[in-house]
Amino acid sequence: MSTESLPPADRRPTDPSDFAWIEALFDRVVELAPAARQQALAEACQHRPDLQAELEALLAAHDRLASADTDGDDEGGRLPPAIAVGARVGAYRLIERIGEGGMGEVFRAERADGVFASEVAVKVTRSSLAGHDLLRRFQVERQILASLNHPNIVTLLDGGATSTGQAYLIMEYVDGVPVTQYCRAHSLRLDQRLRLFLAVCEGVHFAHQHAVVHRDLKPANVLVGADGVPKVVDFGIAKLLDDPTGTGVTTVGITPGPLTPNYASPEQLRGLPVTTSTDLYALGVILYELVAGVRPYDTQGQTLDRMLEIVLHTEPPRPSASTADDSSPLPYERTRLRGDIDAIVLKAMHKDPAHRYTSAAELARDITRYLEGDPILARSPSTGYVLRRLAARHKALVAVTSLAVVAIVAALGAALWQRQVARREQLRAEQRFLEVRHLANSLIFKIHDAVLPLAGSTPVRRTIVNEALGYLERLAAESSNDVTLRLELAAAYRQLGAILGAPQEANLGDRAGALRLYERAREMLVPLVNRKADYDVFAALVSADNTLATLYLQKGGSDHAIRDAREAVDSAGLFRASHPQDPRGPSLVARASFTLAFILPPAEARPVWEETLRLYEHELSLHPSDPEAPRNVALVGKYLGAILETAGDFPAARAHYDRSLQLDEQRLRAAPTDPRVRFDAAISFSNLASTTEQLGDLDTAAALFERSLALRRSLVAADPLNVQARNRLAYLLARLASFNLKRNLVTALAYGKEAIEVQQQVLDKTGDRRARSDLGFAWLQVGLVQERTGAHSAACSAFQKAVKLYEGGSEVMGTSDQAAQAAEMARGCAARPPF
Amino acid sequence: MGDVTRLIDRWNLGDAEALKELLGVVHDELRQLASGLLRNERPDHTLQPTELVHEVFLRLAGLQDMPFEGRRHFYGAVAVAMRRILVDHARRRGAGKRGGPESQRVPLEAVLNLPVDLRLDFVRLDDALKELAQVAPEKARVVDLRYFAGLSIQETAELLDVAPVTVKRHWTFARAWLLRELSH
Repeated sequence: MSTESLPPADRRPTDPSDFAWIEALFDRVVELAPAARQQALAEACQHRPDLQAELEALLAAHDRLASADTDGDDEGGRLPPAIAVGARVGAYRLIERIGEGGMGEVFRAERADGVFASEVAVKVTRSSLAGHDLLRRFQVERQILASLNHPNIVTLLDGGATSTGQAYLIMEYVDGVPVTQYCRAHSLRLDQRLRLFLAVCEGVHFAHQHAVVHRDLKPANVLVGADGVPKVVDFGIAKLLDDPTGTGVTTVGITPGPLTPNYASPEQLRGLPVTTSTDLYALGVILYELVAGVRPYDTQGQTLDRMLEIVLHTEPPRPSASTADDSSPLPYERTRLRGDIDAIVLKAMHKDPAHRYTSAAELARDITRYLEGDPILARSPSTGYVLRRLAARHKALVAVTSLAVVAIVAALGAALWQRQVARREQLRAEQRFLEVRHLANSLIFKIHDAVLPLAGSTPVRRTIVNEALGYLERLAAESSNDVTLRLELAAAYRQLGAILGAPQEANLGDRAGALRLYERAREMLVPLVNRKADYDVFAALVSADNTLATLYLQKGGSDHAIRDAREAVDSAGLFRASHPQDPRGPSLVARASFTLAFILPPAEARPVWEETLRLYEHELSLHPSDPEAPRNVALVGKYLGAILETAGDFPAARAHYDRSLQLDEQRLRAAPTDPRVRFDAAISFSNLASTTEQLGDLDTAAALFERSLALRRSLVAADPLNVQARNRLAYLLARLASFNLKRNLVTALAYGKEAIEVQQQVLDKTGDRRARSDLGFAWLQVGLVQERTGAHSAACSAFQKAVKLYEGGSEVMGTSDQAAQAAEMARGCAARPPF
Repeated sequence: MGDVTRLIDRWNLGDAEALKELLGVVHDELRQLASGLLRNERPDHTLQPTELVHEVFLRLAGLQDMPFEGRRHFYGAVAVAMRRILVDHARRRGAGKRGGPESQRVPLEAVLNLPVDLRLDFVRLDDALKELAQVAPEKARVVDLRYFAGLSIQETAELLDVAPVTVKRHWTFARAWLLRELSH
């Protein structure tokens, strides 16, 4: 045969999913008889006619190789067929070959005597068991399996051995598709998927009660028929066929069919004994795939070593943070999985069997609780969580946006509660339990009362803060000498301080209150450094110092701020030096040096930023799946970019902004509705827009600005009381006014006026120096527009306003230039005679 | 030779330099052994890698003392070295041109059958394998171990820690893919 006779393959698939499709189909049809192969190929290629030529070329090549294998080489040859279609097995005749595994083949069959019309599936082993004690054992096991009668388990009807000693099993024939495929095909809602999964759990639990472990649970073994009832296939078969020694220990490599590391539990992959907990793990993985639409681990195209490494040693992303697979979109937002579903799935597939659910029934109960809106087991029995769950059921509360704040304070109670129960003597724990319960009650009822008139969320937040503070003071009075409690109290003060006026987060704008609380936190912590020098103390102190530094900076006391920030760096460095083996040391230093860099004047800050970036990039390379890791790198990139931009080095600035945007867009894809991620991405877009503008590409800059503006508007709309979101929206509006100065004066003026309006609201609320200079910036832009449109006197008064605002404003990067420009414009128009 | 065992140990500990050194040692040893065979090509133009590899193994490392991880890396290194030697050999014969006159005389169906036919165009095979490795690295790995290190399906499966049927599946597909690739 000449080479020219091969069908031409005009284009080869380079797309990995095309390749995977071709490979799977090739595997499926290559051993089929020519006619069956042709039919299977024609059917499959209906969906992908573009790949048919490639497949046919591969199969033709295979056939030529197979015919050249004339030396009877058992290596290159095919596996011997188990048995032929048409043969009789027990009371059944084989009709069609429907599958193949390493150990044997599967056929569709019907009763040879025609007594019943029902169809069955028949599994026949390839190798002969004749003459072994195995056969007897096989019969015993078969009896047990045959007793498993459950609507969600495929029933084993019969089994035995053929005349040539091949074992066979006859079971109920399910004309269904794998459960994952079923969910996709019917585009099931989340609750429908969960209910389907509940039925699977019932079947598995029933088998476990009969001491039968599946050992190879995967979507392909959970079939859903046209009636929508899921049935687990092959229960106990893995053991029956694979464990001739009866030791219950399976070697991975010889499990029937290639054992997919995606569903095999860590203990299975290690070759340890398999228990019911192994099935629970697999159920967890299946649940993951059902709700998230993707598998927990991306092992596609990895070597086996790497796959094992991934499954044994890496944590899967939470289902809600899994990377979307665009080929099969879910009919719901992945963010709905956040919290309860995340917790259930991750508990089920915990690497350590001891941390998993104890039974499939327990797993099912937790899912039922979730479906009914009750608190679930997978999350610790914390007051805060229960409170949150109850609050979520309360209609009056659901209507209000302050739920997130309820959650913060509730979580604070939860943290205390959890630690208390675990660590303290019984009496105290009980006493504290009463305290926490008091907190819970008052939160629930007072929040309720406060929210009833729907007057907005501010009074709600105040109520919560005051309540919680009273609670804390009582605890503090009770135990002044308790190290752990002091640590917890410090944490509580910090959390409450954050609600009042966290420098980087959504807050109530009460900076004086926040400063007071953070100072109290520090008072609690400083004496502890010498008494109990472990990570928690250092981390809390560094964090308190950092926040204080930032708060002082905002208030205008930059000497105070720099002092606190340097103290934080020193504390972190002390921890790193005294605990050189602790991996948290470097990240603590990174956090502290971040704040110091933030506070220092730009000229001194740059090397500190660069060091911080180095530390965070290292953290990111170590923990790529930690959501904070990319955020930190992106954030530092923004500050470094800003310094370079101010220094006029736009290409270098753009490189940093590019990296930041790349990371922020990644995060946005993973959590598209997370307000913090949106905020970060909004900043990234406008940063890059700015440098792009400076480098002369105005159209690209305009498009980037638009993305940023849309994100910022959505943030303000979602949380109207968040002053920070408002401040950043107003700043961008002013920036857009400036951008449009050379493009469209009407647009520029509209942006400028909106900027002033929004920024004025922020300044009224906070009195913040930053807001003050930002408002100055807005007035400056409006003045510049008016100047161009010829409205000289309006421009003049705008410039004067800007100058005044800059005088009491913040001196962060760039503002001095702006202030100077405003002053110059104001002088210019004062000198000009009025018309 | 304890030297090799030490290199493998270092490699196992994550020392990437050790891999380079190990490859160098294996490569030199293989080349030395293969050069005689390649120079005085047998009348049927074949080469049986299995014998060569075992010989190298015994001379370098000693089968008994090597831990399993070490063997895995060793065979990996052998496969790479052997592939390189054969490609170099083909390059010299074809005087740097692809598809020299002699290589055309090889029936393509013989591609990837053992023993290795030295008239095969190894330069093109090498290119094709590189492409295969792009889309299906595990399949390319199976070809390396089977073809260039002469391992059986069973041995390959043990080394890669997968079921023999999986190796068989990869091997079947990879051979068809390579034949089609080399037929253009």
